[in-house]
Amino acid sequence: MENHLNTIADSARALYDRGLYRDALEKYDALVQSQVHESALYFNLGNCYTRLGELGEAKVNFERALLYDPVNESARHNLDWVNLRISESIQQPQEELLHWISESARTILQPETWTILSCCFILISLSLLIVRRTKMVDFTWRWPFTTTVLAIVLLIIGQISVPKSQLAIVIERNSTGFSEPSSKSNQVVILNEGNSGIVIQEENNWSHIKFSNGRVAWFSSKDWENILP
Amino acid sequence: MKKIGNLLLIAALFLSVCANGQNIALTAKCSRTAVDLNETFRITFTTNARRGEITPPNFEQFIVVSGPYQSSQTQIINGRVSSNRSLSYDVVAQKKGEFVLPAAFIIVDGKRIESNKLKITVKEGLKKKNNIQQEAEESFNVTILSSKKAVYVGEPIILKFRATLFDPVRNLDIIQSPNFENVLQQQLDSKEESYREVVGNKVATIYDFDKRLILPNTPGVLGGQELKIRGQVQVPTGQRDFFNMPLMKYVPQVASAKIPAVKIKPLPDGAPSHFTGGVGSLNLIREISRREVSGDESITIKLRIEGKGNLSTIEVPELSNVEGFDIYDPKFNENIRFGERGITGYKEYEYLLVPQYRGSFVLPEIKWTYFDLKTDKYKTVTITEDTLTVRNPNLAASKPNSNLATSSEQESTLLDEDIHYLQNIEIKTDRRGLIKKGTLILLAVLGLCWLWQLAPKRTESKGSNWRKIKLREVQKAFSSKDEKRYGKMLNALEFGLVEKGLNLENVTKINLQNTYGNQIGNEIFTLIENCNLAQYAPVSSSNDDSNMNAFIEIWKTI
Repeated sequence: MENHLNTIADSARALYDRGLYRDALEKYDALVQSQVHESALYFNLGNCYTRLGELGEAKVNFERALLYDPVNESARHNLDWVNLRISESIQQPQEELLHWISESARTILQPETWTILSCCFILISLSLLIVRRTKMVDFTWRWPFTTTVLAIVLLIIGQISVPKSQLAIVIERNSTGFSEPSSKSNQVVILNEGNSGIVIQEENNWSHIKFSNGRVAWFSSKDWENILP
Repeated sequence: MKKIGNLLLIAALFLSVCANGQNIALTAKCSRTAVDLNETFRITFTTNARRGEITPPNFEQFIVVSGPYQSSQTQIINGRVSSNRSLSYDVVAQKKGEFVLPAAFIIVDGKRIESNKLKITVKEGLKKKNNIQQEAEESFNVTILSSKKAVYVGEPIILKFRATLFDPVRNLDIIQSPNFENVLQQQLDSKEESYREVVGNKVATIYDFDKRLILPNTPGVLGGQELKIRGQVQVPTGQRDFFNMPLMKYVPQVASAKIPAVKIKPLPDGAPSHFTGGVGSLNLIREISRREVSGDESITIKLRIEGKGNLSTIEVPELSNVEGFDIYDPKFNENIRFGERGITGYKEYEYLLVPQYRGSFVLPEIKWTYFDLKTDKYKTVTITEDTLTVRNPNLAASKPNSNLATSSEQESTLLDEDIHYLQNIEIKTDRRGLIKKGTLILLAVLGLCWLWQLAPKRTESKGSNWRKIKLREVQKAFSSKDEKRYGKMLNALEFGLVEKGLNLENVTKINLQNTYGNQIGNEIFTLIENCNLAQYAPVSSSNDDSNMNAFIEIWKTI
């Protein structure tokens, strides 16, 4: 399976190098469909969209690359590059404190690595508990207790560090915001490609989006794409 | 006959409707036609129309303190239905004089019906105040305090709205905010403060309820409306209740404060040409990310004004065109804080310069002037010219004054070159599910292990094992006629006794009887004596058997 996916990645790169960005994009999309969620994959998707001039989609993918690897400097560079070329009429909203903690944890280690580390501490705790029960009756309970607490803390960090985001970005040239989830209601705002907001509710192909200035509007879900794939 | 009756009924109904239509009226009434300055009075508009909305006139000369209050009344007297609707406002006069309140109107069935006009006279000291009202007025004062008496145009002033209360006041509310003229104003985020202070000979509660930062933009004197606040002042009535406690009364009161006399001075003449209106203690900074580039790199230049001054009203100078570079639309960043110390922070433009040609290019000098409030003089900040060098061999050598117009083809090439190239994807088998399952299993095992720790230890089982081992040892020694068989028996008995806290060396018969009962205690004592004797004297095999049997019986019991 891995070999097959690697072959697809190699062929996508070859297509990209030949300037066939749309074909490369399809290959990379196939990898995403195969549940590959790597920062580098989203980075490469972002590059394809950039070359195709679809800067909204490019921004989504560079944001995804940073979501999975907050220290991906190339993704940050390319995201800045895209941001310079799109007209953001509203500031990108900041996500809550937990999101920041999650990102900080991912900066240190990947979520799976945190979990594996936690498993190691669980195994140590188990060994200590078994030894205490069978061989060394006088062995203090404080050591296995400490390792158990450490294991639980690492497990919680691992869970927190799993990428989460409610941020969404406009991928169409223009997206009209309405006061209600209906195109017959009042138009509230028109946003260009690349603008972003927080999705607070989704209902019948309509997304209720909140902006950094606190205002909210309903948009057609097809005009927006969530950062979290 | 029936037809005539119906006709008469229709005619009667028609006449009654006509009569109702003719009676529709709108009247305006005032609770007092001569009022004191700052005295609250009520204006009421009443109509007998059942439909239509009463549109009040413009209360230009008055401040609406509260309202509108709506009420409606329907009466049926002798089968005749009549209704009244009214709209009331509590208002306060703004200044002395005679004023005519324009007519209110109502539109019923397309017909506009107007009310009468009200003539209201406002005089100062018209109303004779009783002691309670006098005390309420004296207890409730408001002032606007200014941080400075004279400022330059663009120099911030802090105004503090302060209420001085000698008696408790409730429902404090601003009814007229001073709309300062020719200024930019910013309400400061500050907590409402109240503290006690001696004013004159009385203790007063000082309540600072608003703070504003004012930035005047034309010379003259600070102007605007008066600040008016209202509240209900609690004053003693002079009477006492059943429990001899003083009776209090809440008196509605309006207090006003004039705009403080602050002189706004024009900036001195002779401003340099680079002056763009900056006032304060400011600085212009130019930050260049790198002065030499090679490959496909770009340069970021930030032009920033920072410091303390009228940052909110000034513009950051623009970066002039730099030859050999494509300059993209700048990104604007600002962080301006309004506080009691004035306006601080920065605002900046961030430019992205993408090299188009190889060579050295001059970044021109920038001059920017602001008015320095510390020295009361214009101060010019000069940023000297700088050189940017591009070493990319793929770019053409610089050709100043040549046709540098960028074609769309060139732009797309730049686009391709500027973003970072593809990254290697390390495709790994998705082990997340496996890790999750494994972790859950381990956690469950860990939980069970902890429960196992809490479970009581099987001491009894261990004890019985030990008993079996000792019994086996003794039986083995007796069956093989071991010389030390009685020593081993004694040893086993010693272990058994130790469990009950007894010592074999100084154990007595009474101890044993107390611990195990008379019969077993005697048997154990006899067996111990037999064992002691057998260690020094030969014992027959029949005695061996009886001692062994006795031991087994005792062993079962203890």
